[in-house]
Amino acid sequence: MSIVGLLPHLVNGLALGLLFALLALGFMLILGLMEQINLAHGSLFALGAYFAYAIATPRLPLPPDLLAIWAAVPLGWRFTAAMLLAPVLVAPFGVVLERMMRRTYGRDPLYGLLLTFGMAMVLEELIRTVWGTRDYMLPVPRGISGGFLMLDLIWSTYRFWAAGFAVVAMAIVWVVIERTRFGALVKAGAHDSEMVRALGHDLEKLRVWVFVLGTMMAALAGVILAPVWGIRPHMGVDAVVPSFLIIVLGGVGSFWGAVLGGILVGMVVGLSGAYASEWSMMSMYLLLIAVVTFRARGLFGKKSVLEA
Amino acid sequence: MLEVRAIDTYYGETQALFDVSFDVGTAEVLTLLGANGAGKTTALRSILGLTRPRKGDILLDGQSLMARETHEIARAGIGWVPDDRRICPTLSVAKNLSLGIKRTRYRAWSVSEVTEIFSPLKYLMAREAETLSGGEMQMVAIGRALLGSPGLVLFDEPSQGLAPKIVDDVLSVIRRLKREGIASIVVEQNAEIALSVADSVVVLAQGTVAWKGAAEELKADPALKRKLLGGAQ
Ligand SMILES: Nc1ncnc2c1ncn2[C@@H]1O[C@H](COP(=O)(O)OP(=O)(O)OP(=O)(O)O)[C@@H](O)[C@H]1O
Ligand SMILES: [Mg+2]
Repeated sequence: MSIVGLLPHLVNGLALGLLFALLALGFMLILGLMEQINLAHGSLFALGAYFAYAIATPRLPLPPDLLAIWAAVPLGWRFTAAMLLAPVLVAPFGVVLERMMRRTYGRDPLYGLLLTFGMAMVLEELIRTVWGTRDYMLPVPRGISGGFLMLDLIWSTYRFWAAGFAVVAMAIVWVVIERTRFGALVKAGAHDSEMVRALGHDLEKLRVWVFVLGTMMAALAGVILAPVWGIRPHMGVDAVVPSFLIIVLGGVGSFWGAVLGGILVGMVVGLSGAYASEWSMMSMYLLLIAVVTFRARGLFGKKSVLEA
Repeated sequence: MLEVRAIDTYYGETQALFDVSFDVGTAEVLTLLGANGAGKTTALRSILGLTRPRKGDILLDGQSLMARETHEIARAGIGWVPDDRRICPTLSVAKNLSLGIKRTRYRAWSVSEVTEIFSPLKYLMAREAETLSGGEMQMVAIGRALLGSPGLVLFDEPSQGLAPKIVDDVLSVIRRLKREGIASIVVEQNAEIALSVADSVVVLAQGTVAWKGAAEELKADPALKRKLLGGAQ
């Protein structure tokens, strides 16, 4: 394959990487404040995709007349509604998960790992029960689907849109974290939760809100990525691996570390997909094993391995 | 204003405070003295609900704090200046200060009042807290506590590692608080510094109250002072 021929794969990798970054940022916010790794983060991502499918296709538990009216609405609107509503509908799952995780706070991270691993299993089973084991495709509105020809190469239009959506979502997260008092509180709480409490802030409430924010980011990433990846029960596990990997690469608490790590992982997946598509997921797992084996400091030393 | 009644505080199974009692009146400055490991920091942590006493009671203006969460105790009007300052290094000075802002039933302080007291803070607002000197961090820590409108401020070794000039500034803040009707508990290693602002004194030894009384009494009795605080004083 020529170098130019790789360009569309690079764009795919970039789009994928930006979505991974969005996913990883939510994972990191939760890790920062709860000091627990949320292995069910990918399941929230999967729920986002399934809810989007239910809203957009539409397969909602509504009275038939109402459903018929909604089905007659142009796909563009249904897709937009899915993108905005699915994260809101997944948020309560995050609230319940946070509630269950509370007992692990301040304890050995192993408790959190076990609990959230169990929750990931439960949520995956729940998905199988409700939607079955088959794959679904989230339909994309005509205006942003299909492909176009450029430099004698075929480019997928939606990949560009997916990258754009991810950038907008991350920009919003950046503003929230860097420019609001809530963001300052999240950072201070991740650094020293005791001091934050002693200043009069309700840490429990803060944790719920951070979990809601992280959940919505995961669900939104699930919606945006659904047309690219397809929707299947196992997608939650496939999504938690890059989150984990990105945080190991980019360091806990570093916004740009997560973005850079996300793009890096996305590129690896995208490019390995160019040569052998069946290897693109495997490449991610191999990268995870390599990184954890040689440089585990990113995750545990609160410092980026990219800086080292 | 604050009554600590016969508290026992533990870290796990190790008991750090044994039957500790003392009172702080409105606008009173109480200094808590004692050797390393005597339980001074633990006493402050007990008041804040960070390390909860297993026995006894702590009352603020007659209301028990024992069943309250730390953030509720802070909102009731207790400010904390911890010994290691505990400023968030990745936030600017302005943001660190802003995280302290809250209203209570006590006197409210504005950011400009705080920068008047600690004028260097004016020029440091945009700086990442990570780059501050020890003295500057202490100014942020005290300023942050004031912005929380406290009726009582807990100072844990406020002079530790500071230049004499800054120690003087800190002491004059404590005196100013007193004039404004705000009480302080000042934990100190350096008894001379503490006695220069204190109204009353509690001496802790191995987690128990070894002596309490008026600061004047201790200042007037060098033999007693030597006995309680060792030859170093
Ligand atoms: N987090 C903790 N876990 C277990 N034991 C602790 C902890 N913090 C303090 N202690 C113990 O409790 C006792 C009282 O400690 P505390 O920190 O209150 O003393 P202090 O008077 O503030 O001493 P210093 O002057 O060194 O600050 C000591 O024996 C100490 O070892
Ligand atoms: Mg101490």
